[in-house]
Amino acid sequence: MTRSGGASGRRHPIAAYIAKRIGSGLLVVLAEAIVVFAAVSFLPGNVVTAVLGRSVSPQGAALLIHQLGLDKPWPARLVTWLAGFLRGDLGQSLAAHESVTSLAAPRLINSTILALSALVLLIPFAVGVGAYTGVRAGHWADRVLSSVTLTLIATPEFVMGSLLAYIFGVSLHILPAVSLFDPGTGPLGEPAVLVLPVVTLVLVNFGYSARIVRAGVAESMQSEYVKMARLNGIPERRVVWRYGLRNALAPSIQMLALTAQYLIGGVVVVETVFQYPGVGLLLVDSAGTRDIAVIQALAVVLAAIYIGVNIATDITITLVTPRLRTSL
Amino acid sequence: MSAASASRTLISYVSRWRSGRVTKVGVVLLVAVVGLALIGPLINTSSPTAFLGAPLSPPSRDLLLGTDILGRDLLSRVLHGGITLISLAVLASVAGTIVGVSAGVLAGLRPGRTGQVIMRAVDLLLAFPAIVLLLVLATGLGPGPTTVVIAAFIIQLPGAARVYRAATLEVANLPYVESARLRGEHGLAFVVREILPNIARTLAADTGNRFTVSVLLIASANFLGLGLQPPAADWGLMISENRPGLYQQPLGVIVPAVLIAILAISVNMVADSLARRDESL
Repeated sequence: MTRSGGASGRRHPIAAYIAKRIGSGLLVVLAEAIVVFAAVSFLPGNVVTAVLGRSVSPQGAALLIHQLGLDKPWPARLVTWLAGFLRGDLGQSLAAHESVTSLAAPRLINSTILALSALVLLIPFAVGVGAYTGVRAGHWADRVLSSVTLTLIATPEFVMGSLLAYIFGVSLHILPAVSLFDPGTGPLGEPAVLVLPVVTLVLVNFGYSARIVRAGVAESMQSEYVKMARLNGIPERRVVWRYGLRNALAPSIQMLALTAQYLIGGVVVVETVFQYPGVGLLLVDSAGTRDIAVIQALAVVLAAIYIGVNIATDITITLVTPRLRTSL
Repeated sequence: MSAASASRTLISYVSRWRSGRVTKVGVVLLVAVVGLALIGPLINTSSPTAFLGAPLSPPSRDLLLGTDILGRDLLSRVLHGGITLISLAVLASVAGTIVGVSAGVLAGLRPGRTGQVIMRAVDLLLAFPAIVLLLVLATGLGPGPTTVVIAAFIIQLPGAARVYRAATLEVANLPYVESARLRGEHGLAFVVREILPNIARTLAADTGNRFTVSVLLIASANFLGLGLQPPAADWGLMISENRPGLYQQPLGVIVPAVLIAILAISVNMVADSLARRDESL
């Protein structure tokens, strides 16, 4: 049956599905690039006065407009910019007098180290607590933890980060309150600078992640097949491991993806709190100096990663869920 | 159902909402912190922008919390610093709810081309991380309170539109909605009389979520320097301003941080129990 019907019928349905998801993802990235370009180009904020100050001379303004290419019509600018993207040329930073690529590359690595450390620490923690409370839904441990997670979800990153910086950086004096490190060796040369930013990200996201896993486990523990397994006299421990937890795999993958997506935004704020030299701090600094080329490029790169995570998740969930896989 | 009975439904819904322990704690904290923010500017302290002492001086009898990084009265800045955050968040939530309900109901009632266009726009907005969208808008519009409200408004639109579209789809085929349509009711009158009263429960549950999102985003934007500009007194802005003085005068960071945390957490507690009330109905 898999080989029948239509022109695309020659390909494997899963391969066709993957190709379709990636194709539509690329279209979304293109649409987003256009939205970013439009937002930065057409909204009324005045770049020239933002960059050069209010007392700028007409000649100075004209020179800057020419340098930025703003004197060309917008469709030409959009096409030049998009074409540059395809060649890996993200534009020139106005403030740093450097190409955006060389400016952002080391910072992208720093941010990736930060985000991955948070992810690696968070996943076992969230899955463990989520599964523990999910199996015991309604039990006192579940209720206590749900108040804790509700509190953590609502605490903004910069508040959590500032409080941790005070407690561990100033009061106890055991960790650096500001993440300064040698750009040559990177954050791994001085792992202590990573601790507070990573802990902030983990704590702020933990409540949310644990809740997703808990909901998945609690739902499968209520299901008909768990009831059947119990009625068949299968020992409770085996019911939990074999039927309850295994079917919570899909929500856990969902949680992993949502966490990864959260981290893309979360690092922006946390890097600012700790002055950690990553791509998020670069974005915030560039918004302050109106460094349009940097913001445009990084916004599209971050949005593309965000969409990439989304697509990878959808594909993984489809592959590990038999019901979804066979319906393709 | 008339508009009057719709508001009666909403009121009776809210009054039937029995509060658990978490809800009670949430309401008490929320009233306390919002009360402080609203009454604060009326308390006759010194000006929040006047320079009254040496920078980062510790608490004293005259200046109960000491001074901030520029030598301004910290207590006065704390008392003045909450009202803008709360009013900007209310503004963004109200705007987000109104437009979100309109877009969602429209997409639900017209699943054809109109609905498709709306949902594509929703998908596109959802594909941006919120903070990135905020930074892009701040670049286009320039930093300031207006920018932050517009950003918070746009960022919550997709979520709101989805929720209200789903709620509309659920009620659109109910027998009495169907019979109203067969009677020839249509347009705005149809929406007001038939759809809105039936999604009022969703509205009550979702408004809390809208406000939570707004508070978190606007506080973060002010912290990042994209919203209110110095010398304005604002809790989020105070945290970033006083951050370099964390060692000498930690109160400049801790007091606003704790207040924002209490505000955000209590709003979330109340929103969560409103949403759960909706599920259990």
